[in-house]
Amino acid sequence: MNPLPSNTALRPLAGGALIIILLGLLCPLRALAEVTPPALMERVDAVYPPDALALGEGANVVLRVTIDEGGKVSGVEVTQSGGPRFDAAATGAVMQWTFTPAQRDGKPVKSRITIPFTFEPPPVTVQKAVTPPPPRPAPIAVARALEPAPQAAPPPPPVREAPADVVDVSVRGRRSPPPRATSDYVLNREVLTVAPHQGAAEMLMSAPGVYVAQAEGEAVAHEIQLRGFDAEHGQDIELTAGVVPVNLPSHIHGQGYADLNFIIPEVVRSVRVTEGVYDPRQGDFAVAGSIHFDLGVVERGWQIKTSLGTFGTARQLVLWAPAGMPEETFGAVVIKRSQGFGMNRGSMSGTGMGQMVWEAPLGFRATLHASAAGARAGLAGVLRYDDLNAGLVNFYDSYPDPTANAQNALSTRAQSAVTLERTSGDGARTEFSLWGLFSTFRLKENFTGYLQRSQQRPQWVGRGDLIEQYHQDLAGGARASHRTARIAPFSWLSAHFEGGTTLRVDIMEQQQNLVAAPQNETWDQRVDADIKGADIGLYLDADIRITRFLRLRGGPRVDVLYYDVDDKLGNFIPSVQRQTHIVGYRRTALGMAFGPRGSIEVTPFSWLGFQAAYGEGYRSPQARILEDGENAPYTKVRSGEVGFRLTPGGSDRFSLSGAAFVTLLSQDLAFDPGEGRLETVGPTSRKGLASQLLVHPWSWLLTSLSVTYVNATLDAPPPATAENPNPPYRRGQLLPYVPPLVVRGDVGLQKDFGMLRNSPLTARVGAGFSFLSPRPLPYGKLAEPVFLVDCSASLRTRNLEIGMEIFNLFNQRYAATEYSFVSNWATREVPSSLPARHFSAGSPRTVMLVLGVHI
Amino acid sequence: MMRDFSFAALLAFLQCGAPSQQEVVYPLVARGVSSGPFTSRGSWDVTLTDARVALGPIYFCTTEAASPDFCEVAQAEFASSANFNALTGDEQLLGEVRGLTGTIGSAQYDFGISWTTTQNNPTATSGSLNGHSAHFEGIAQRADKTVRFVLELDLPPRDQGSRTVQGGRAGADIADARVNLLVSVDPVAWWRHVDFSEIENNPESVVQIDGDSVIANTVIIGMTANETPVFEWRAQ
Repeated sequence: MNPLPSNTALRPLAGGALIIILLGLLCPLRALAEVTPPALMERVDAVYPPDALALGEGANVVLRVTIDEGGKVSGVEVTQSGGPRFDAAATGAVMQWTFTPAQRDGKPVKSRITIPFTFEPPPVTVQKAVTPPPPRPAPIAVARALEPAPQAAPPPPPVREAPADVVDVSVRGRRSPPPRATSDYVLNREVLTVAPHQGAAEMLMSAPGVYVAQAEGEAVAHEIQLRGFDAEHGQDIELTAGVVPVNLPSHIHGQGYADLNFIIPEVVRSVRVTEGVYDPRQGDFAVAGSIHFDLGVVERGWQIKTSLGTFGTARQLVLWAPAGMPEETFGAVVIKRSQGFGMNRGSMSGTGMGQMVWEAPLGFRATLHASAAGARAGLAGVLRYDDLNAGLVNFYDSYPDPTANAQNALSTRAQSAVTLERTSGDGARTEFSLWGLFSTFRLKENFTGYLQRSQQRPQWVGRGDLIEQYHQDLAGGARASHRTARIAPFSWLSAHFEGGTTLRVDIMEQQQNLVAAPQNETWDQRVDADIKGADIGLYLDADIRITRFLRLRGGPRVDVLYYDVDDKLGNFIPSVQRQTHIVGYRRTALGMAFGPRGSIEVTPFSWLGFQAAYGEGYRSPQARILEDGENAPYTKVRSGEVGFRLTPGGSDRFSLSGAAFVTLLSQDLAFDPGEGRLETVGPTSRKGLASQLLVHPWSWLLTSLSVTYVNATLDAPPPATAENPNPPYRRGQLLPYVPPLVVRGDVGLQKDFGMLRNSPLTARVGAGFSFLSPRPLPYGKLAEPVFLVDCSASLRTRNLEIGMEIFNLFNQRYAATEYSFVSNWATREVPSSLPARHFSAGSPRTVMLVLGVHI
Repeated sequence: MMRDFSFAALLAFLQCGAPSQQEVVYPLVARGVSSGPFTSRGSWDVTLTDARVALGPIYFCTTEAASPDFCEVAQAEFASSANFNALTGDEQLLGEVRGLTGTIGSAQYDFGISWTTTQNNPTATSGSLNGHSAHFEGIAQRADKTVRFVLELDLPPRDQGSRTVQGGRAGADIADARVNLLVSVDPVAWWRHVDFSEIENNPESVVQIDGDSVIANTVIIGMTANETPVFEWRAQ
């Protein structure tokens, strides 16, 4: 095999979808080398010199580091100086690093490696939510409060006893986006992995005020609750993974549908949860806020992980993160299957994801991303509580009915993106990215049993309300932005200005029918439309610092949305009427959304900050409901927050934050089980309090606790309908499906307690609990509270890891989601037309055994 | 106990808002409003000796529109069926109405025979009269003619998934469960337009009136259109 090039200026590889395979073919396994290089186990970030930070100074420092046979740093030589302050900062940090020593023929030997440090002056303040003890062997660098720590080098390059041509692994500081408000959290991998999570979406539960449930199986998007918003499958949250948006506009199953199942949790380096809309970069669907998945792998090398557990669940991960390359370069494949925890819940899925970073001409850094995923799962659907209480069904059952047993879902997604970015030492930054995606979605689901009557053939009734939805989206987009260099007319005044644009085009096909099981005979058509949509966004953002105490950020954003809808069932002619025209209705609509966003931050002390923020955002409409020439109505959101953050001793040790917030929505949506879609409910408001406490007193212990309270109310009577011309309304009426109280706690312990074959033996224990207070349901009903505990334990050497994960430790019977609506499953002589409580069962206790090999 | 109370108090505090509707349950009673002899069409003197009616299920709708398409979600319902003596003014308990607080604008109901979406044919419910919607007996006299008659009437819904009577008159604002619902029927009014000349020459001592006869259809029209049951909510 050819050795890895000794220069990180790798050439781009063709075919994003082949990245994983190509990387695996091109690069050697380190185990074949005669000399095994040292591997980084623990590192400490260099502390940015405060005075240099204040002056916006940066530097490059290169150190030659000697590592003894015990893996300790025994000598440091500055081969390229960045000045005394930066030299001291880099040296002080690297002296605390520990390594697995280099080996020759299996015996530890002394070695020398070259490690460069790039101190890049930060334009903004960074607050990390937590800095837990770093995992083995390559933990994420800890960022001190208020400073963006320069990214430490990835595992060092190949080492020879007398290194001559040492690989210069030049590392760019990983830019952590500056928080815009108190409720703007960056959760790095240590926080995300304290407690076990079944997938990338469940990782979000570590963020304050977030609750995630998977009620419709592995092939359907999760339901996400965020600070008073029942965002269903993503309607109120702008979700991105890398530069590719996850939300799909005008999706047949829900506006802004966002399926996170394609994200492999092992490649999630951090997650940013922005609760509120205060950043001009936030675009469509940022109503409750935005969630960004930052993709990267800190621990370099191969990871092969096999998980086996209850309900016939098996998961196989193969991940490769080539040593000597940036964290953003990786390839991963996951295959998973399960028989499910009850009737009709089996699933199978596969995901492949890869990224490559290289140094492009003109000082740009290029990133190429490609991924593909597919999943198919059975759906058990929902059950009525009264049928459960009457003993007609069991909690984890599906109705013993052909139409219930025919429920299933299939989803696919393929996407690719290329990004070019350039950052200069004076803080200027230019970024350009292109992305494309193709997704398909097919769902058969029956919420209501046997209520529906065919609109095409009214005499057809009682054939089962099995809704079949199909949605296909071919989308592409681009993003470009430029931030100016630091402008400092006075010593006490400095600023950056940024302008950017986003572009997105979607070509969609969607249908919704009623089909009769088991032959899938179509007996009614409800939706058949082709939709083309475009979204152009422009924003300006100013970042102004007045002394060290005051910071102002914000700017305007404007979006223009265009829709072209070919509604093939529009102007429908009922069968009892004479045909006077040909069915069909093509229409176009265009609209503009404008909103300012801004925040103020006052930091009287380095350990205390006060923030206030305000912003106006929007959610695009479901295109199919638009009329011709309509000035596309948006859901407008106005969001405001005041809060504080307390970090005595640095945010990596202790952090306490609290915020009070208000969010007003012009037009809210709620799920209609009868149609399996979202329907308008009117203006709403949310007022609440959120707090988070992070404590990291010792390197081996991390705890966090968050409490979020929301009073979410309907501000006006729901829209009148022919069925209900006077909808009941009471001022202060609670919004359905929104839990007033969400509590989340995590605790993690990690400790070395010996050596095994010259390798530290590390034990790790983690647990997380989530509590949801009873949620209001439509028609005055109330859902049960939810209390869940997940835990994990593992033992790890350098190359081997064995562990156990237990989800729903106390085997709670809980509802992943609850509804209130009318259904008829023919379980009683006389059907009821009153709304009844329905539920989708949450998973019982699930135990997974995990065996991992790290090379 | 203290822990449970604290938890309940916490939940009550957290709700900090009122639901727009509450569940209510109240009794359903029925009676007849007339029973004495009367003169029908054709100058027949008629005395009903037996009039039993099956009623239910009953679904109360918010809208006043007479269409099942506008009553997919009921405001209240009597999801059962029962029969009662329509010749007595005594209130007879049929069962319970379950529903939500709010406005009622109309009613849809069957007379003991339903045809749900999952049934291939109309099916008698447990509250029917041996599988029938109503049972009438009586005597009709004119001049020297005396006719004793019996009618067992079936009133099935016309279409699968619909109700026998759609858009029946009903109106109330239900604020709480301190009410009861009285259903009143007038069997005399149903028979007042019947002309017995059709069967006056029948030699049978007791004439079994055919369910498809003109007489039967006259009664059906009375029950389902002209003189439908009257629903009255009364405070308890």
